[in-house]
Amino acid sequence: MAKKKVSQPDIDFDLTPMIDIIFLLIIFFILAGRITSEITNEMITVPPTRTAHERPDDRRFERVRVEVFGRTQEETRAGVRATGHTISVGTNRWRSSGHEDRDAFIAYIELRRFLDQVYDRAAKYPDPKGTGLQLPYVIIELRADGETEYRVVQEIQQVMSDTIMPEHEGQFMVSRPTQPPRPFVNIEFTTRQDTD
Amino acid sequence: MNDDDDEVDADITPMIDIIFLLLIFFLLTTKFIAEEKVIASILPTTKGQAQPQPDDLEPPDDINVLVFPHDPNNPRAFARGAGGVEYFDNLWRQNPATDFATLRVGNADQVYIINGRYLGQREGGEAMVRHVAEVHEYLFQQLSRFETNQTPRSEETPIVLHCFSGMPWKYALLVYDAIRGYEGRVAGHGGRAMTQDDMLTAREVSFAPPRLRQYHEWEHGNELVEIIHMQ
Repeated sequence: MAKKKVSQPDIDFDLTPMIDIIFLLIIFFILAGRITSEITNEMITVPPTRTAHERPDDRRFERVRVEVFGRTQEETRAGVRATGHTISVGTNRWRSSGHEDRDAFIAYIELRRFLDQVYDRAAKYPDPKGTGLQLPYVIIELRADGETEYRVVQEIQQVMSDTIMPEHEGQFMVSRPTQPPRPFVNIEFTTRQDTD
Repeated sequence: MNDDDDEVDADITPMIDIIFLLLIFFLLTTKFIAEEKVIASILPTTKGQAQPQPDDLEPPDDINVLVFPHDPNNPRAFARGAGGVEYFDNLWRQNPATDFATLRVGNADQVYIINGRYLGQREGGEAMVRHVAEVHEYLFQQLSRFETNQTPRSEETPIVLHCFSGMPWKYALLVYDAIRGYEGRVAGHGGRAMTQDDMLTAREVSFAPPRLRQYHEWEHGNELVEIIHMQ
């Protein structure tokens, strides 16, 4: 027969159901949740589409994610206000005013500078369409906020395919005069399933 | 120690501590957002595509898909640019955000009005799914008119998406999605994810460069009238 300590109050409450519940909760969160290891920009709400699919697992291609958000023009009570847009790649973050000042295209220019480095170190293949261009084994994922102007998202695509080069003072050049083009053509637009 | 004692006196307090820590960790780090997916595309590499070509507003070779604002208070103003350049300039200056977009394929009489509220923040649900399906259906009907059943699909007439430069990106992506949906139904790669290799034999679909080239000229009215009058 077991000895009982006299000093210990004999409140015999059963911990087992509580532990059961807690285990269930933990298992639920492990299975249902997604840990935010992938740092995604909270400022961005990607638009819904129906033909959305998972990122294809193609080992030949390196992936680069380019994020863009912010409206260049925004409506407030006081009227239309210029706010600019932001482009970010990893920890880099560049902001354009999108207006006639010196910083109109600073984000495009910085993005192109970054893409030049990616292009130079990537493996390449000749363009199957026979244009003579060398294309890098890179897929650029363009994660654009649904409210950002079409103009900005389209111009970023042109900066990627190296068919325009922004200059200062709100001007564009059609191509860079001094070097051969460094085009990226493989692109994926980030979206979410309409039924999710 | 008492040898007769068969009660194992396991102290469960540390275990409960650990379990609580785990629970708190998962509670804090878990996010229930829908997983993001992608739509593949391939950018045109033709040199000089950005050059504005005023003489070539309606290239006969391409199917133009047009996306421009819609004003429910004055829908007639957008019918073939009846509002005029100044009207649109002022309108856009006063109200650059729009909740509605007109979708038209070529010179079709029938248009579809996209309600952007369904495409915004996490609202919409059933209504949004239905709306997206309607956009797909509209484009299916319209694009079928131009179908010449080429194989491979890259031989088919290219589609160019002309979107008014100030419209939110969500409209353009939805229309691109609907074009891909049409191609999926016609070419049969429907439910399967398109790889980069598939893109080579896919129909050419591109986003037209904005008609405005300089940011310090806010000639939205001009651009709108040009797009509305495209065929």
